[in-house]
Amino acid sequence: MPIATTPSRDDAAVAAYVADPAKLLTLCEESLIDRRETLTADMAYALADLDIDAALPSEERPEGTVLDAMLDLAHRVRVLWTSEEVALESIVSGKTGGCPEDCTFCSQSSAFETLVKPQPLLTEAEVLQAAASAEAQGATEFCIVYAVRGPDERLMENILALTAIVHEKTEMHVAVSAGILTADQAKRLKAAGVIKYNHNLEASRSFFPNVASTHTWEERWETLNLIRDHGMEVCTGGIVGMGETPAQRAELALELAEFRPTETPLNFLNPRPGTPMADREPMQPREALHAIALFRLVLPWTLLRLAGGREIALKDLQSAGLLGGVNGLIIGNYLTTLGRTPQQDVQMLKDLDIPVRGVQDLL
Amino acid sequence: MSQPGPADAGASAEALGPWCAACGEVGTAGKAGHERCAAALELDTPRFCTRCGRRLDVQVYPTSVSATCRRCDGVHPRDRGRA
Repeated sequence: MPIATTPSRDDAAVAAYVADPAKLLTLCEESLIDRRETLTADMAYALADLDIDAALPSEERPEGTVLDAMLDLAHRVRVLWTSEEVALESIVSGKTGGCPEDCTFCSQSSAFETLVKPQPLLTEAEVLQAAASAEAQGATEFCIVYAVRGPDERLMENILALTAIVHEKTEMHVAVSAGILTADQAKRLKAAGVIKYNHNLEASRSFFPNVASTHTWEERWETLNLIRDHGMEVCTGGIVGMGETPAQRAELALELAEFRPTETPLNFLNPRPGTPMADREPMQPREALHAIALFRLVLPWTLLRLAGGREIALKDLQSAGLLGGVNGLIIGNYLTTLGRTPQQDVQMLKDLDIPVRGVQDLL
Repeated sequence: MSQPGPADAGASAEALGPWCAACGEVGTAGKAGHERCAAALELDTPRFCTRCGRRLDVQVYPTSVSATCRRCDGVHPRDRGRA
């Protein structure tokens, strides 16, 4: 698939949509619900530009806002295009720190003085124990993540061995995230049983120069091509709250949509000490909800998974995300930071009466 | 292999020695001058040994955390973070 060009934008059309949010949302509903068609780029840009706090009363919500209406539509879209179920995944850092890349959000980069001390590769026993504990908490997917530019031969052998043993000892689907791949590596991962490969675009093409200088957005795009061409499911998303404009947030969603990813992890910047983004203010909860609804409406088919930083950005509004377009969660801890406990998230799903994929009677 | 069992995250903010587990400076997370350190430890692991101030070897797992100090030779039982 050729490198994406920045999705075109007709400023006059976007402005007209933004001026009449009720009409815009009606048009979105007609497209996504009635005709089951995806949105135009201009509609996506307009959704990102909306004033979410503007009043938009409805019969159900006389005091409603634009954000309320967006979340309501996003929830109905996700139920129609995917299902009622939410899928739970856990992740583990198979190799922590010492990464040669300079991603400005990342505490694992060796380019910055951070609090993360590089650690050796996890052993098979450590990974297996981590997988077993995640499965016991309700995870049906397990992703092993490596802080590398891309896998060398030693790491490839490690990945292949770990994939085999997790498959053998658990019922979980195994996903891997190990950076930029070659065609041969993609072929070997597929043959070893890696069902899904994660490689985030992280940011829109126009914002990416603020994210990394040691590799390009286009290199990430090429790896996504390899993943799909070799028959693995594409898991690609990004991080919001890094200083991008609303238009660049829409641009990222549109670029991701070009790949029709099976899964889209949505991360929220957790400003890490020592990184160039350490002093950025975290997103506010309502802005985070706006991003969630936007991504759902632009990517209606995808497994939209709340990922890192959700505790920081959404705070006590986790459940609003689940009723605003989300159908996946990373449960438990992240790569270098802590998350909510799995029990908290499972209880939240139970309280919301949302079924969990592949799991019954977690509580 | 070290994957500690359940531990109390709040306990990680308590002092075992003169060093703050969050920032590595002299002091105690949650006490004077280190109020923000206690908040940081709600969603982050201990990063420094409270006994000697060295950076800890930290490995985060889905449901547990291992935080060890090479100098003090072993896992600090109160520095394990949330299980």
